[in-house]
Amino acid sequence: MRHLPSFSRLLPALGLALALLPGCYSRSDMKSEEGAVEVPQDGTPTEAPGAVPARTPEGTPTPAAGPNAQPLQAVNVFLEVSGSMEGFMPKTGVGGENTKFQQHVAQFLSEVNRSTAARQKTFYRIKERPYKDSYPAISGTVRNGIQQPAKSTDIPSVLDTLMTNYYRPGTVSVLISDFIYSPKNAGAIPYIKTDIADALARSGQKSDLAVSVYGYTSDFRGTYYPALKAAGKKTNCCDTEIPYYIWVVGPASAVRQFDAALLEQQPAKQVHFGVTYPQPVYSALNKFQNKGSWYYGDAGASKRTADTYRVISVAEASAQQPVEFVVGLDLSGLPGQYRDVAYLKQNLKLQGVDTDAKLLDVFAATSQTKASSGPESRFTHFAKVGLTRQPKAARPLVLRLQDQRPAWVAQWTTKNDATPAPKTFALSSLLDGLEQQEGEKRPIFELPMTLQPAE
Amino acid sequence: MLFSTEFLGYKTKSLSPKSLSSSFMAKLFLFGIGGTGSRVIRSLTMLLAAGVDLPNCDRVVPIIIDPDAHNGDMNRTVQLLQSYQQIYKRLGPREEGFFKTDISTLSGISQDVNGSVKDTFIFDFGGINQSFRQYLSYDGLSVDSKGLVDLLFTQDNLESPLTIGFRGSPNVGSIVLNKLVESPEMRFFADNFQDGDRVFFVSSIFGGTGAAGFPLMLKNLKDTNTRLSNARYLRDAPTGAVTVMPYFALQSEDNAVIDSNNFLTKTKAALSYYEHNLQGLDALYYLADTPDTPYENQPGGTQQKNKAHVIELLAALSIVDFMRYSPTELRTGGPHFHEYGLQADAPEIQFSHLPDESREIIAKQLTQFLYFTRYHKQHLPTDKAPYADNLKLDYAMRNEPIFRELNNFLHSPDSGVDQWLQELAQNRRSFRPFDLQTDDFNAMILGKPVEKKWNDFFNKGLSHNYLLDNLNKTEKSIQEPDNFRKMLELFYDVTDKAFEEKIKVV
Amino acid sequence: MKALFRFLYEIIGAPQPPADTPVYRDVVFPNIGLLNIGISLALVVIFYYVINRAMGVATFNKGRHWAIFLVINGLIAFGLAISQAHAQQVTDHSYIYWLATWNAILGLFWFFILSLILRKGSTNASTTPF
Repeated sequence: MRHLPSFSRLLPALGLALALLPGCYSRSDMKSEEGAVEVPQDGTPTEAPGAVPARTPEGTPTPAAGPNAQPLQAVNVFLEVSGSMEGFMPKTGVGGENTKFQQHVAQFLSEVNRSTAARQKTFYRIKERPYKDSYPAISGTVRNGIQQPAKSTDIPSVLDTLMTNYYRPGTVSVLISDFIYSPKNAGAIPYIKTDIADALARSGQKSDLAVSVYGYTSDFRGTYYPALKAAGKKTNCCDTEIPYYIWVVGPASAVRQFDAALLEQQPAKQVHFGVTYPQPVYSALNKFQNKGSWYYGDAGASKRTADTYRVISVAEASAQQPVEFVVGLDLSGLPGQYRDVAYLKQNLKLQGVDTDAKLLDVFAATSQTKASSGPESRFTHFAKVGLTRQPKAARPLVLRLQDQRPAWVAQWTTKNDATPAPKTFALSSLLDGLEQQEGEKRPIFELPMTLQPAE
Repeated sequence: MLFSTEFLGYKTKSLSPKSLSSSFMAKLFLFGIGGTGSRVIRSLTMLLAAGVDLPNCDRVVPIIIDPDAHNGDMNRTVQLLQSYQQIYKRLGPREEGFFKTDISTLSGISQDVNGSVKDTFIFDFGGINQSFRQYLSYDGLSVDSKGLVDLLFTQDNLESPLTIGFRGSPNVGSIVLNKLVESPEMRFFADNFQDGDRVFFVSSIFGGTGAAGFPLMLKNLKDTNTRLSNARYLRDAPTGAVTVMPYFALQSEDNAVIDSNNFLTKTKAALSYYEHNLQGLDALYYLADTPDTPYENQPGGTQQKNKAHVIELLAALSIVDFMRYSPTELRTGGPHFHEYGLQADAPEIQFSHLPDESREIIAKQLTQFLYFTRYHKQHLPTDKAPYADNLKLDYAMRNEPIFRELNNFLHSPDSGVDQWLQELAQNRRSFRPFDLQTDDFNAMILGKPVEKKWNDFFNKGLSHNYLLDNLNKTEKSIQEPDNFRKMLELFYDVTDKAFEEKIKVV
Repeated sequence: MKALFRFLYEIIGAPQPPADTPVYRDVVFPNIGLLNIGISLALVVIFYYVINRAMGVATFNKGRHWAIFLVINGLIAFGLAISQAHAQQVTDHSYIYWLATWNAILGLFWFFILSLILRKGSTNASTTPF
């Protein structure tokens, strides 16, 4: 075999060829090269064809920016000290026992006072008008009881005062009260809502006004003053717990910031009006409980960072071979009310055009998903979408979280508070007044995606 | 060798620069007389095929004069010449290369052939199919004449048929050959003789045809009273001759017509004649060697087919040497006499035994030609390579006549180059510059193997790979539409390169 | 470029599982496509220009020697597709082997085409394979 020796000369050449084998570039290279450039900060897939433009609230800092955000300019805490509040803050008894209110509010005031979330903290007692107080003084009032109870305070006028004198950018007013609103006569009851709305608007419409309401209950030892004076006050009340509230009033961003810093941790009923939240991070997940023939249709899909997939390309879908995909949501920037799976199941809506896509399930992250090495570990909640028809063209698909007034509001509302109960007279109406400020009701978030046929 | 080894090469005065070849077609008329003439012409043909340069000459016109029409030596020489001619016709004139010099028949030198001269390399004796007695019309002669004839010729001489030559009998030859001058061939030769043409005679001094023919031919050509045309040109033409003295012996057989024991006697007689009777000759080359192995005694006919001998090669070299002189050099101080001496008295002659001058003339050319011949036989038919594909060799070797002709020239078991080299190597004294048995190109030149460094993995010397690579490489650079011309040019270039790169000197 | 490779590699059908489609289209196809052409080119250059020209090897130019390179090219192309797919952490699927087979066939095709184009520049293999 004459060619054998010449074949041995090929060895270096073959070596060269083998050296060429391990690829020119890898996917991870691409990620690091392009991810930073292509993906906008707020994650809006502007380049996706047919995508619904994301609603990005102006000037809302992203959750990522939260801890680093500027602290609030000022917090003004108003504690109502009218006679109806005396039951929450009774004079220290023989046994040294106190009410839950005292326990809670004293702690809250302390936290506010210590908090770095705001630069300036001011405390007021509300009588006929706000009286400035020091932290030790107001804390003492809570602990030791109201020394000189004021006359019943009128909620609209309090709100008016707050709006007029304390509404500033970067400033929130925190109002602690039982919010028992006694109209001057029974005929005024249907106008509670209007009165509240008027009070808030009196000093000029504030477009970014937001109010967060946190509801608590506490044992009550003292005289109970129902809203309907005709029923007469009850002394040595009560056997049941009586609700009280913390209202946070101010510009939307300040309210959200304050909520997140000081109130989010507390177990409470909550309802929010006019507070806006940055769009949560979300992404379709192609390897998490997915089914059927679909894939990421985003441009440069394989080079994106894992949490920015918004376009679903459906290659094939039928009743026999349905397509299912899961959208991961990071809702950690939202208040607990909106993170509640029950709330989400009820209020997370899928809206599509020309498609039978349905929201099949909403569920929260489990320890398993959090421990996963896949992108699903980054999300707190998941929405599973199913469809059985292939889209004919690129069509928008929107996940929208409705802002629904929580059920507790209705439960805590009473038309007659003559008998002490853990309910508040006309609470719904009060809150209706807050709601009206915004005009049309906006969803908490809208997450646009695109459904398209596979290319 | 008869001559002492101090004479190296053709002994002569120093060479002056060769005159440039004339603008017109200078010819060399080469008369090969007798069996020796044929054999020397065979060797010359081989040298020319190998590309040995023949200066001052555009065309060689060999004329073989041998009344023995069936002489084996002559026949295979003629075959070879015809092959050469075919090949040259296709190749045409070139600066250098194999088959560089034109070889033509006598009739081929002029368009003006009236049919009296046949297109052949052989002098046509025409109708001498008779005995010497009949040729002389012995029976019709007067009694006096018969007496004279009886005195000069033996009974044997008279009864021998002329068709087998003169059987080493110059006395017979001289009578018959003297008549040649009247033949149409000689007239045609004279008619077409031009200024600048040369004449060269090849003959043996000890035989019959040659010994007698050469002086007679010379005398007739240079005769001042000749009836031939162009007499002045003929007279002034540079004329040379090589005469070969006994270099072989014949097996002694009782009653054999030719007895090699008479060779020396005959030689002596002839030499003494030559001494005074070679008028008009410019150069005379003497060659001789001591006989060794006796040839089989075949007086003539197809059986007289002797192995090629180095003496014939050297005789052919004398023709080359003669052509290297300018006419002026030849005419000054002539006639010039040359002898040849080897470097060493070796029984097997290799290139190193040749004198420098001879080596310069033939060593490289013969080596190249050997490489070509061997490659042609060994690899060409099986080479699946670009050069072969581009030359369409596969088809051409099988179908094109000219390729078959070349194959014939190189490998014919009778007259081919292989055979010629083989014979030279086998004869005594043998000319054996090559190892003809080996397939390895590196070992082909005896005494001069191609050096391969043991540690140089890539340098395999003259490997098939080396030659193939250069064939492929060179083939690309030769712009020649004709595939036969291209192939020969290609092999000349490649073997030239191989020699220069791997052999350098021998 | 991507479209070309996508076309080329989806002749044998869409990538499987479908979820990996973007990875195949954006990364694997262009990667193996370019590498495949590059390797074929390299092998052709090695065969025609390095061995059969620069190195002066004149006896390694037969059809069978060319076939050796052809087969090597096919094997490399096969292995290349598998290794590239795995490097991108695609889901294991028989499709990978179909793709590798197809890539090998394409490799043979490239080698053949490039041979035809480039062989003229070779000294000793300018008429190989025919």
